[in-house]
Amino acid sequence: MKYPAETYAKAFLEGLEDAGKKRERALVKNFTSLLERNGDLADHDKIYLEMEKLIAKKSGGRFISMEVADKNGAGAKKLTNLFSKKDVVKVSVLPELLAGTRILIDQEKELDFSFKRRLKDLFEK
Amino acid sequence: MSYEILEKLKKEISGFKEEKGAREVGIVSEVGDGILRIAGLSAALAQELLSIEADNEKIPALAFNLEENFIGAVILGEGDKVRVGARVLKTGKVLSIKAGDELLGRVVDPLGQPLDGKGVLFAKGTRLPDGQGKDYFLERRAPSVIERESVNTPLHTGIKAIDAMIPIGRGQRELIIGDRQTGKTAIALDTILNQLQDEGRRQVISIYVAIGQKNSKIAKNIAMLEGRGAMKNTIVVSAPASAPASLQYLAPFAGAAIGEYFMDTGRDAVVIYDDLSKHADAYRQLSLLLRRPPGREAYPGDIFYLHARLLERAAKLSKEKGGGSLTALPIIETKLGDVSAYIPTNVISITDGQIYLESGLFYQGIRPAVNVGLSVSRVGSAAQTKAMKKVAGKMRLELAQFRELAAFVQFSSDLDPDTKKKIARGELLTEVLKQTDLEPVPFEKAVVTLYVALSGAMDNVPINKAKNYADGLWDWLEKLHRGDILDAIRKSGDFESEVEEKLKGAVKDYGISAKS
Repeated sequence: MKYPAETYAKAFLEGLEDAGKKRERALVKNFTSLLERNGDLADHDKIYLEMEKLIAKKSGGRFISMEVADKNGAGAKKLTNLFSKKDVVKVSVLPELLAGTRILIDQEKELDFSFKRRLKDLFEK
Repeated sequence: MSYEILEKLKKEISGFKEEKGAREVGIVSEVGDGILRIAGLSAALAQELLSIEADNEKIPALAFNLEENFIGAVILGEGDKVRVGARVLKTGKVLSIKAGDELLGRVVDPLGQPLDGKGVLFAKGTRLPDGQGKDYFLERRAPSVIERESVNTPLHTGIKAIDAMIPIGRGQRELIIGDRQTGKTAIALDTILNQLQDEGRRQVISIYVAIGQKNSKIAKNIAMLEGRGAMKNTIVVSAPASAPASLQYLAPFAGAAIGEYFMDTGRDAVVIYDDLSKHADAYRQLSLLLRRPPGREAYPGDIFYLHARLLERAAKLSKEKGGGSLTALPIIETKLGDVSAYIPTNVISITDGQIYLESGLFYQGIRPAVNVGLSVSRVGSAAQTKAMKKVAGKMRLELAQFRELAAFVQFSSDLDPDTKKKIARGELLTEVLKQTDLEPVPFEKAVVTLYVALSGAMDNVPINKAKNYADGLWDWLEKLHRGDILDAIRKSGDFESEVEEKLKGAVKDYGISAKS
């Protein structure tokens, strides 16, 4: 990447704020072509993630990444409702967890309620 | 699965208590070339040992760069098992190595894992009193001024030219520098071998740190040391060229930590870093991959500090601290004799002197190819034995005069008798100082040989027969004067006038016997 994902994300969000709603579409288009020109379009998901983090931080919330073994499970929905509206919650499915949920808060703290973790702990003891 | 295992598992499941609460983690965001970028884990400390949760194992890593949004870390295990998204945990520990007497005779990697197939180190029920070893930090503060004392005991290398003119003391840092294939490693290996025969002083333990060398060369050196019985007092720390740059970077620190164990237990150790040029290259590789700003020759800005803090750990401890010592013999490889390159000048300025080996001398057949003019030992002369001081005091001057006059050798017929004499003496000394590698000379033999050469007793011996004469004289003395001359010098470390008279007499007798 020519620039780090967090730099792209910060620049885009600040630009968006300065430009206002009217120029939103044009800004997105320009940003996409900039990424293409720099050869960084393939890393758009990383940049998007950084944007989500920045938005959560700005609104005074937390960036929650929730990994569930089964998206249709009732637990995941219940847990999502527990978080504040300011928080940005991203849910992804990770079947290798076997069962349960793994929650990562601000990429710093992890709550691991997965069956995979329980099995690992059991065999490590 | 057997019944017992099943029952044990059932018992553990019933009594299993899950740890609740959040744990601090970092997430691997980039991995490659043995380097990691970790998001999160903002409380990690510099040089802290981290643990990466790979699929089925935990892989250690070392926190190197602490930046605003991420940590740059170095993988210390199998890097190809680490994936993006893997969790990284703090351990709260810094890197350490288990050191103990059990390491003697063993070959280990910089993390203390055995590489010689001779079994587990520090296993339970070991025969040695320090069975479990002691953890020594790889990065450790060097002894302070108060904890040290002046260098006062010689470390004999078994190389006549060095022991006579560039003496090394225990606790000193003496650089061995020269181009490739000039005999740098040979000097280091001779020093290890000579410790077996250097009696009258405390036995020195040798630690040979091989950095970025070919595995075949390391294996050859180990086999040689084993063959000569020197491995019993030697530890080899191996980080070959095939090892990751992270291990090559850690190897000298592991060697220093092991040496410190022996120093702290009141013993003498010598650690050989073979070589610090490759160590600097490994550190440069890590630093560039971690995107640290490059400086001169693309080395990072702290390359001087890296070597300075490593070599500062060599010390002679005071009696209150046990009186142990750690001598450092770093090796630096120059390119086309350029000692003014970045790393050579750095290490020259850090160490207490250097032994400069010259390829020109090497190809002239002068081996060891020590350039006496450019070599120096800043503190070792204080530790030189009285016997060697008495004998070799004038030698450096005589050789320097010879080098000045050497250009006139081709006009020797037109020279005045005094100059002719000086040239002849210089040629004789050069011949006497030659020795083959892996054959270190006992200290008393060096004293006797140099005395005979400098006293004029060999002036009539043709240059091409000087070696035979010296060898013959040594045999003569060993057979007839072992007790009164050789043992007297070895035990006292002095060359008293009484012994001198006896030696004069013995040389005279040998001369008569050789003629007849």
